[in-house]
Amino acid sequence: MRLSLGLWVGALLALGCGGPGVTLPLTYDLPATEPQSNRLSLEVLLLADNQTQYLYGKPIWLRKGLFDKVAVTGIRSPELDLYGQDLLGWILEREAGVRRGAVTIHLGDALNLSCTWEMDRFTRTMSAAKRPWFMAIGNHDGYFFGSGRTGPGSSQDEWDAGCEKGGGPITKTQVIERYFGLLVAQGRQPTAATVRGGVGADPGLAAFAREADIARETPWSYTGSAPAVLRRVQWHRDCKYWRSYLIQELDITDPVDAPRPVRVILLDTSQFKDEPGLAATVLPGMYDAGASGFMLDNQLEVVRSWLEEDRKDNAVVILMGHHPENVIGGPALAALQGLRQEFGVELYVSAHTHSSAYFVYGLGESKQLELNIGSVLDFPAQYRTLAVLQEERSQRTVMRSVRRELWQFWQDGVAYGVPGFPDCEAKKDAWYPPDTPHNNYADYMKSNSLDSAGTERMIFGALLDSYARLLKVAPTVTAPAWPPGTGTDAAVSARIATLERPEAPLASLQDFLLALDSFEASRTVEDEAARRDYRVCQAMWASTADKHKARIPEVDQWFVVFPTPAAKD
Amino acid sequence: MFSYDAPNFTLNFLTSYFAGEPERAVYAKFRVSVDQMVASGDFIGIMEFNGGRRVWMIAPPGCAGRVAAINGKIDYGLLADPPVQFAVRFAAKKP
Repeated sequence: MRLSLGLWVGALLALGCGGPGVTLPLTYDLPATEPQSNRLSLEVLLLADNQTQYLYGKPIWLRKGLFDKVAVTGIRSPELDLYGQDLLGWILEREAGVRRGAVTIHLGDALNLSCTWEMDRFTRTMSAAKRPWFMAIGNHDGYFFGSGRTGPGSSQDEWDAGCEKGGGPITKTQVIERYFGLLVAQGRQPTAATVRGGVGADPGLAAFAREADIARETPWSYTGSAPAVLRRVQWHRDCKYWRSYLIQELDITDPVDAPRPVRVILLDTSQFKDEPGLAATVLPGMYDAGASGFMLDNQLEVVRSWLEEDRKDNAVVILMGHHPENVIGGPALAALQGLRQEFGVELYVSAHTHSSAYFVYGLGESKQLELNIGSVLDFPAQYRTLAVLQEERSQRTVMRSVRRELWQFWQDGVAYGVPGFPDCEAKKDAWYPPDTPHNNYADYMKSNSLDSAGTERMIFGALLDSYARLLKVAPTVTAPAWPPGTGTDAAVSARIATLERPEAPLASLQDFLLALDSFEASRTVEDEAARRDYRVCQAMWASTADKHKARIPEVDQWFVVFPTPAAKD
Repeated sequence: MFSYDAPNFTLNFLTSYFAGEPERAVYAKFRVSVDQMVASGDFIGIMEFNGGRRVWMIAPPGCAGRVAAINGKIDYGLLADPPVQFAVRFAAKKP
């Protein structure tokens, strides 16, 4: 079998998989300053794990207060879920805008429960990217709550309930179809900036939009002569959606005199032979998509064929996928590491962990390096850039990757007076007064409840309170979609006060919050900058509280101002 | 592209220049080395932008001296924002 050599080598490598004691040999340099180099690639923006959350479905088993103690991202702080996508939007505006933007690579987990509403919201968030963007599928993109619908508390009924009034569940096959459509939409944009300057869509995306047909599963590749980023796409839609996959190859070669091409293959590490789910916790041989990644042979064979062509072109190839190698299922991992070994792939980039690290795998002198990136949502919200160079003297490949944590980036930006950086602490008293009746960020964490409905009521109450404050910060100028029974901000606030009473039916809170979501997305306000800053500051405070389960300074915090003695409580 | 901080013998990148650029700067390929003498108008290197554009880096008026250090850790994503990043430091002139 063609993959057998790779499997054998990969198995050997997997025996020495990442962990204490596996180190890079001294043949790898880790310099403090940039070696004199020639650029091989464009600079790309790497981000992942924004976990768009549909908040307005029926209470589900997996969002009980007690369960959150076991799986700490089972429930996030309400304001983090409500405003967290604005963190991704802020990053895209800064790093993927028309001016001084970069190609964006999203490494998966765009969704959370996997509802159609989440896909719609993610699509709206990504519209802030004015440069080409591409995505690798994550475990939350098409699998219920990132695991699948088999096992305790994760049935189709639970999925339907969680996505009620949110367009229903969206399976992986449907995510692939929606994403395919987003690639086509990018290709049809006449005025978007190209990564190489000027206007017009990336030639690769434009060709894809003209030529590709999702109904025909023939491999698509770019055949034009103009430099293009999107080079190849292959997909398979299966009625058993866990067997579907979509992979892409990008050409990020610097357009001017790069001596060899640089290509990125975006893998789909959420492809399984059998339906994954929480049943894997009790049934051997099954996978939980949240705990493990996998790839089937039909995908890996395409990857092998692409790598064979890339080798003929002497290309530097970087593999990227959602799951880190140390959670990819045995045979798939062996195949992946075998391909890396056989084709000299020096770097694999992954996400999923919501932290960030380098991992080293290998046996003896055969080492493989993995760069794992953090989440743009969970603290510390972060992203990276990546560029490939070639050292002038030795001709060795150089990777340059800069990581930014948003909270520190914002503090530095504010300190230096950079426009567009939110000064959250300066607004704290106004936007989150000390006498706020309950701590919206952390109240849900006190719950050890097995009552999903009770937990949902707590969350809905926090969301309503946050909307009430948002209306005061950013009053409405025009609104094409006022919530039913209202027509002014005062009427909205009055309705919120009514719904915050304990006797208000949960369904009424659900319906009104859905209406508020549409209202907020479409209204214009007096001070757009204030609204934007309010939303991202709430997300950042909630993200910090979600991590620490309290408001505690970060270790890198330079300044702490203590209260006057009488105001400590 | 530069501002020269004469009292501190430092050639700095000019944030307003990069703020006005449509593409992001991604690599400065210096063509001077430590201990090399540089005079105003000399070719220092090439600034590369993400869209493929290359711009020559030229020592501005008043900038001259022996190269003491070259910035080897430029944060290209922040060239358009304060604080300024230095490009080249020159040796202090002997009294």
